[in-house]
Amino acid sequence: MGARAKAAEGKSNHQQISVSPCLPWIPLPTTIKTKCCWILTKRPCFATKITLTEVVTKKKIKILPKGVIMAILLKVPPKSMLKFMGVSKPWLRLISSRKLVKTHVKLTANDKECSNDRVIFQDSTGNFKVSPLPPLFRKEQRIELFNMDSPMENPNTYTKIVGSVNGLICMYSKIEEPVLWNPTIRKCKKMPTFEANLRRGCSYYLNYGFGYDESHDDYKVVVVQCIYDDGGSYDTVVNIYSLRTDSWRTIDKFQGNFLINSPGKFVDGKLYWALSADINTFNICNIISLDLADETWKSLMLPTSYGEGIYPLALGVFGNDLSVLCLNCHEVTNSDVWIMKHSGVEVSWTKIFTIDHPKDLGEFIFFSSIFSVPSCQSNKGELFLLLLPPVIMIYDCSTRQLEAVDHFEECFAAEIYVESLVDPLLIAQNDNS
Amino acid sequence: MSSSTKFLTLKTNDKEEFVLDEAIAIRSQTIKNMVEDDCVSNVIPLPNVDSKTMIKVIEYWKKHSEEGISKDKLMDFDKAFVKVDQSILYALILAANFLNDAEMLDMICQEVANRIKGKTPEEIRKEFNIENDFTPEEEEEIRNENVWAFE
Repeated sequence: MGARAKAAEGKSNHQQISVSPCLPWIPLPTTIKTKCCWILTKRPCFATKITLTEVVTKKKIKILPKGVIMAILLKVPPKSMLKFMGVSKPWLRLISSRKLVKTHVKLTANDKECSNDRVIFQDSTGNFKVSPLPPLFRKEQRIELFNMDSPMENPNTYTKIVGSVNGLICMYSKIEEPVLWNPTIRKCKKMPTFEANLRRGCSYYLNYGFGYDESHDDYKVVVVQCIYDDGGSYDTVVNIYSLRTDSWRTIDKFQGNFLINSPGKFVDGKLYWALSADINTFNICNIISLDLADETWKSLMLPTSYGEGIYPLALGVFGNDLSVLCLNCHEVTNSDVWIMKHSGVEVSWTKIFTIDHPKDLGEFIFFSSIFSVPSCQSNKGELFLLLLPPVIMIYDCSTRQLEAVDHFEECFAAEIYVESLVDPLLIAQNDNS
Repeated sequence: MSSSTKFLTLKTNDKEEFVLDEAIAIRSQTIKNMVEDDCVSNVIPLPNVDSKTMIKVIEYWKKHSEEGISKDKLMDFDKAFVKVDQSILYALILAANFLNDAEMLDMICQEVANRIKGKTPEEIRKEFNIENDFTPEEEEEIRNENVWAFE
C-alpha cells in the first residue's frame, strides 16, 4: 500500500483513485535512489518519500509567522533569547515585548520540571554563585556553579534577600537602600530612598516584604517600620514602593502589634507576616496578610494544634501555598509543617509532614525557608529543600531525615529564583517617560 | 469499525485528497471548528498544506490517536518524527499552525528551539532567512549590553 493510501486508510470501500502511489513512478537519479533505498529499509513509505522530495526540489526556507517565532523563542533558555536580540530589529522588538516577557513568566510558573529554577547564594567575596535547582534535588555529585557579580556598589556579605518573584530578587546591604535585581539579564534597579517617610526620634526596626501585583502588573516592596518606646507602647508606619511609579507611599497600617517573621512571605498576590503581641518573645497571636492589589490587611487563624501560642513558628512558601512550620508542643524535637488552603473566604490548614530537628540545628530551623519541586521526588516520598544560610538542606519525607548539601563551602544570603526576562529598569522607565 | 464512523476528505494545495476518520481529523482545531459550524461539505480544502507534509501530519495524528499507546512509545515516536530536515520541519510547523494543532505545534517548536538555542545571531539569520537590518554600530551596542550571554 502506498503512503497516501496508508495515511488515508479508514473506510475500506472508499474510492482510492485520489490516492496516488508514491515511489516507483518517479524517475530517480541513481545517487538519490541509493539514499532512498537505504531509508526505505529502515522506515517504509513516509521517510522515503519525503527524503526524495527534499532532494529533488531543494525548497527555499519559508519565513515563519511571528506567532510561531514567538512560540519557538519561548522554548529557548533566556540566555539564548538575549543573544538573539541581535538577530534583527523585529526580533529585538519581539524579545523585549511585554507580551513575550509575561508569557515566558507564566510558562515558567507552570513548568513542573522547574528547569528555569535557580539557587543563588553569596560567597565570602560578597559576589554570588548560581546553580540550577533540579540537580540539587537529585543529589547529583557534580553540581555546576556559575559565578555572578553582585549588583551592589560595594559587595559585602551583609546582604539580606527579601524575596524573589518572577525572576526579580529584592535585596539590600544597607537596610534603607533596597534594590530589585534580575540576575538572569543582569539588570538592577536601585530604589529611591524612603528615609523621608520614616518616623524619627524613636526606637524601631524595619520589616520587609516583596511581591507582585498582577492586576496592575507591578512589583511592590513593603517596608513596615515597627516603632516601640520604653514605655511599652508601639506603633507602625507602612511604606510601599511601586516599581511602575518608582516611588514610595505611606499606606494604612494594620491592627496589631509586632511582625515576627522578616521578610513577609509572598503567596498569590498577598504578603503574609506572623504577628506577636510581645516584642521579646516568639509568642504568635495570628497571621496577617496584605493584599498588594488593593492594599488591604486581613487577619487569619493559626492551625489549631498551635495551642496556646507559646512555641516558635515560621512562615514559608510551599509550592503555591503559604506554609507554617510549628514546633510540636508534645515532642519538642520535631516540628510540623502545615499548608494553608483557601476555599472562598474560609481558611483551612493541612499538616503535610513532620521534620525531626537535626541535633546541631535545634530551633534554628525556624529561620529556614522551605521549597519543593514537584518533579523531584525520591522513590518513597517527597523531597524538600531548606535554605538556612549557611546551610542548604534536603529533607526526605520517607526517612524524615535532613541532609545538608555539601557542595557549598560558603553560603551567606541564599534564595531560589526563576530565570526570566523581566527588566526592572524598563518597567520603572515606561511609566515615568 | 462502527457504522457511525464518519469520514472527511481533506484536499491539499497540490490537489491531493486524503480520506480520514473525522475523530482523528478533529485533532486539528481548524477542522474541528469547521465540522462544528457545519461548514463541511464534501471536501475540506487545506490551501496552506501540501500533500507530503499532510502525510506526515496524518502519520502523527494516527499514532497519537492509537488506543492504549504508552507515553513512552509516544515519546519515542515523537523523537523519531522530528528527526527530519529543516525545511520539512518548517513545513510541519506551518501546517500545524494552520491546522491549529497546539500539541503538535508545541512539540515541533520545542525541536526547533533545541536546534537553535546555541546558535549565534548570524547563524539564526541564515536559519530563518532573516535580513540583518541593524547598522554595525547598533549591532555592537546590543552585543555589548549582553556580552556575557555570548560567553
